[in-house]
Amino acid sequence: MSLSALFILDINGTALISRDYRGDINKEVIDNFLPLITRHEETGTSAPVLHHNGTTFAYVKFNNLYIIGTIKRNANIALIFTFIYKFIEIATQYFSKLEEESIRDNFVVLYELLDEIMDFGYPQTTEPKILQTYIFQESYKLKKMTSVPAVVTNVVSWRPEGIRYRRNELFIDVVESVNLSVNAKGSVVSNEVAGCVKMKVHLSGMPQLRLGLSDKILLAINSQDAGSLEDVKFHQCVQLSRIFEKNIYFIPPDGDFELMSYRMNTDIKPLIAIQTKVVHSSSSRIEYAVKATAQFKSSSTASNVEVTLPVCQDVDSPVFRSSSGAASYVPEECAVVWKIKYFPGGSEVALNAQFRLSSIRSEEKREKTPIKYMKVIEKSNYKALTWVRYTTQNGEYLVSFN
Amino acid sequence: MMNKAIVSENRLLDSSNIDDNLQALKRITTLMSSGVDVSCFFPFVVKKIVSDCLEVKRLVYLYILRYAEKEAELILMSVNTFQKDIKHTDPFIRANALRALTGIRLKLLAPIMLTAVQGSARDFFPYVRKITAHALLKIYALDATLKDSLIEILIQLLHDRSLIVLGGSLLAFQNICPERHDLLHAHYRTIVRRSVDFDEWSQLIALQLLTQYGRVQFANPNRDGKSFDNSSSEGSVATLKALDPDHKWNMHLIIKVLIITIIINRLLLECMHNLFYSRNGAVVLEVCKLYYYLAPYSEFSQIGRAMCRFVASRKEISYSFLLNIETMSKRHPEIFTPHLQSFLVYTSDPLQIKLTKISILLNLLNDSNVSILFNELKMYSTNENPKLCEAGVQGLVYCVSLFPKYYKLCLKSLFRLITSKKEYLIEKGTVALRNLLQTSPKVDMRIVRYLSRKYLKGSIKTTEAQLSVLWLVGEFAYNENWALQVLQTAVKNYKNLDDEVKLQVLNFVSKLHVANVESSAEYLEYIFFLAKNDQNTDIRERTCFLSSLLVGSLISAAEVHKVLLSRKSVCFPKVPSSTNRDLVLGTLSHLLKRKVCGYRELPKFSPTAGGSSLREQEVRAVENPLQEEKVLSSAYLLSSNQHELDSVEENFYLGISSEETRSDSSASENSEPIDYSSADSSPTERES
Repeated sequence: MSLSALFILDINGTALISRDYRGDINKEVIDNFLPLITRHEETGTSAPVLHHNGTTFAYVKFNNLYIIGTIKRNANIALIFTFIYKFIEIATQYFSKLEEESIRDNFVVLYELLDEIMDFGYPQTTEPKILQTYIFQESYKLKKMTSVPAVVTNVVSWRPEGIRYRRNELFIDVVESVNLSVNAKGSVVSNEVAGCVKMKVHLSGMPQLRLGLSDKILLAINSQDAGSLEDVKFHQCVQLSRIFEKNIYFIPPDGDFELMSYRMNTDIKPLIAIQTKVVHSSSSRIEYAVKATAQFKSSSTASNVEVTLPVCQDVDSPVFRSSSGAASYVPEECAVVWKIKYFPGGSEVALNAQFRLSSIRSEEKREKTPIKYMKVIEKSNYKALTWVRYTTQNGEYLVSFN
Repeated sequence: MMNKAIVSENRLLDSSNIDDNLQALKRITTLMSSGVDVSCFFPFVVKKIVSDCLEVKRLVYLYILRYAEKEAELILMSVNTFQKDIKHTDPFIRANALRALTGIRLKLLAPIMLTAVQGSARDFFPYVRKITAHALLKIYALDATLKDSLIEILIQLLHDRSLIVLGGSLLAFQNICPERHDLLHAHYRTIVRRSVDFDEWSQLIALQLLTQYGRVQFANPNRDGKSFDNSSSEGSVATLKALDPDHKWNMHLIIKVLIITIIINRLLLECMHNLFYSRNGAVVLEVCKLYYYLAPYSEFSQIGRAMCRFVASRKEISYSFLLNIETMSKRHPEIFTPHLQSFLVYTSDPLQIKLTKISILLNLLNDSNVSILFNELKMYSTNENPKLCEAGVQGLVYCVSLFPKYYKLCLKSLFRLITSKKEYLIEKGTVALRNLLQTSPKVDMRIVRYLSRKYLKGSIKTTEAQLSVLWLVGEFAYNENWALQVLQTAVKNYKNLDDEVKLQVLNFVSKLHVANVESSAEYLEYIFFLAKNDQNTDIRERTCFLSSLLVGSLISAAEVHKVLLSRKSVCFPKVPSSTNRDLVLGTLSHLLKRKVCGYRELPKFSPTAGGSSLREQEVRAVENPLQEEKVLSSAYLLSSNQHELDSVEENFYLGISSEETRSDSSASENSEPIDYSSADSSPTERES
């Protein structure tokens, strides 16, 4: 269940980083990777796991980089992808952006990191906050680091001790998005709200936090009913053994992190209803009429609504007529993008275009409050400021047509 | 140029200034990573291992690991320093040195490494002991003959109170001696109870280990008769009797064994349940596996919930989950039917994910969702992508094979495909129509006629589609007049056809000949003449066979008719599977559909499971139910309905859990202070 080696290639297949963990793999195998992936892409069979001549490549494409784990023996494939994403997360925290340039500038740190996060193909300490306490971008001397290793062995492996802030603050961001799928007959096939609670913690010491959740989330956690799709997942710091109580308890890591994410099945009607009609006006012309209706209160408005209509590759000379917003044809994505800056509730806008379409995505705002209260408990009893903000992001709207 | 560089680097390395050393080492590391062979620095770099700066040491280790195999002799010289570092006052240096030393892949060094780990296994610092555990498996990979001495150290480490050490030693256990369950018995409870507190990667190992352990040590909760969820109590009595045909059996004893194993199993499942909420996909998948392989069917619903959560995750992770879901849903569709929505195809999904989702959907087909799914499949069948379109079309036909009432609807949507202008749509539609028509007792001739007209017009171009049309006409319309026209066209183009189509034309002409000897005789002669001289052996062989059948009068006409025109057996398209169902879930082998090096079967449930006395600690907890054994066993045997059974089980569990918590708290009281003190003790304190 282990990784033989980890490679990072640039878009042309040149190896930027290679770290051999088990010595059972030849360095040259990586030269096979790019031809292999090109071949698969041509035949349309590209999958995240490719096999060639006894070696398996599990790769993630990220910012024009290929991050590849090579596997020689039977391995746990979910572990490898989880690890690669963890590595991306760590590298992003270190260099603010993982890209070719930042790799070239930080070879040494990267090698040290790779050495620390994996040993003999098995993941080790992968908590970026902890790694940052003993692998620095700047060089340092031995005497500075007498107490550091305690962190690695702590029961609370995600939070170093001795953090001090002059101003103790706590920010909670609730970000939600609505995913909706409507079938050709216009009935809603799936409808869910996916949300996550992000936190930015600037608190001193080892605070124990208690977060009160609204009943709806509690229901999701406690429901044993297989029929509901509602579910929650938590950050490592949350005491999983106590989640069945009304609150969740945790000692937060320092800085930004995602506390929990959840999904809820709701019976809300789509905020923006889309209707389309296809007219084959002649053999060479197809006209599509799209009508969008805002189904929310007229007092609120949606801003920056974007409707993407994928179309065939062989369309040309688009003609648009719209009652509001601006539509444009994006040939490289084979889509029409219809942007509506200002979309008041209860109103209706329409667009006429000449394309086939199968999916629509849109962005809008919605309000929901899953959090009741937040309590900070720390031995020194300082006062902490808590800020809560709710936002709704674009989810995936899918409307199908015949 | 290079020489000059070497000189300057060497000067920097020789300098007593740490900054200079670092600078040189960093430059060498950069060169190394860009593929330049920097082995010429080896002697100079190795010297620097004595440096007191951790940063320098770390870079030197990095360098040594890369070139050690090449410079074995020089490495031997530095071993002394390694040994000194392993006894360094700073625990971090000890850990790093140990890791680097055991990372060197020289069999020669294995005995030295062994001595080193023997010492560090008793280190005061948990982190060092964890590294020691990892070192064990590295030494084992290097030299398997040291197994016995390694296991000795491992046993010592398994007793460790610190969780990180336990996690590391479980990993070593799994790699060195996964079959030695006898070593785990004593720790089983600790592992199960504290798995929530492990770090996520250790959780993974623990889960894997427990799955293996559970298969060997516990009774199968789903076995017929014995099943504790299966409400047929008569069945269980029968099985119990069968266990001892002489009727001398001690009923209580058997019940005791069964109940105890089930309770232990429950404890495992209950403790692992919390891990369903982990954020780490790999952990969740592993818990799902554990449930899938160890839990009674009634608990399977939880797997569905947890797994579907990751379907909407990053595409690579989603891919690995979907493959597992596909395999699970084949045998247990009921786990995922409530989550049907998760598997609807989105346009933004990559192709592989779309295809996997479709085969999952087909696995989930049942009475209540067929109407939704049929519409979905219909939509996929008109997709731009030929592969997706094919999957959709096949899905439609599969739908009909399970639910014949959808025959008409399916026919209608396939017909829409063949009237379109796109070649691939026509192809997939025709092939599917062939499959579909074959299933119906009475073939709708209008469709065959329509297809043949299309064929005559030349608008059926692809090989697959031509094959299907010729087969359909030959099979069902050989009596019709227009069949001859089709033959005419086929004969006219014969020379330019693909080999496969040629074979089909041969069959076709033979079928027509049987039905209508006079009108087709000329065509038959002509085609047989061409085919006899074909380059392809298959075609020549086929011609020989058919001509002796038709021209020679070896057998009667009725028999020839029987050979060529008897109704063919129906073969439904199968749901295409992208994984191998029999291999262990979540592994690379499962994904690649074949056994990869290092693959290990999951052990079968052992028939004589449940020697609870092995897990000494557990005996204490099990005492509880034993006292009530009489009442309970009779309750179990008499109860014929599920509900009662459940409540019996639950009572058991409740009894245990109170015991659990008590022992748990006492255990943590004992262990934790030690944990802290050892973690906090600074090296100087320890020295004094």
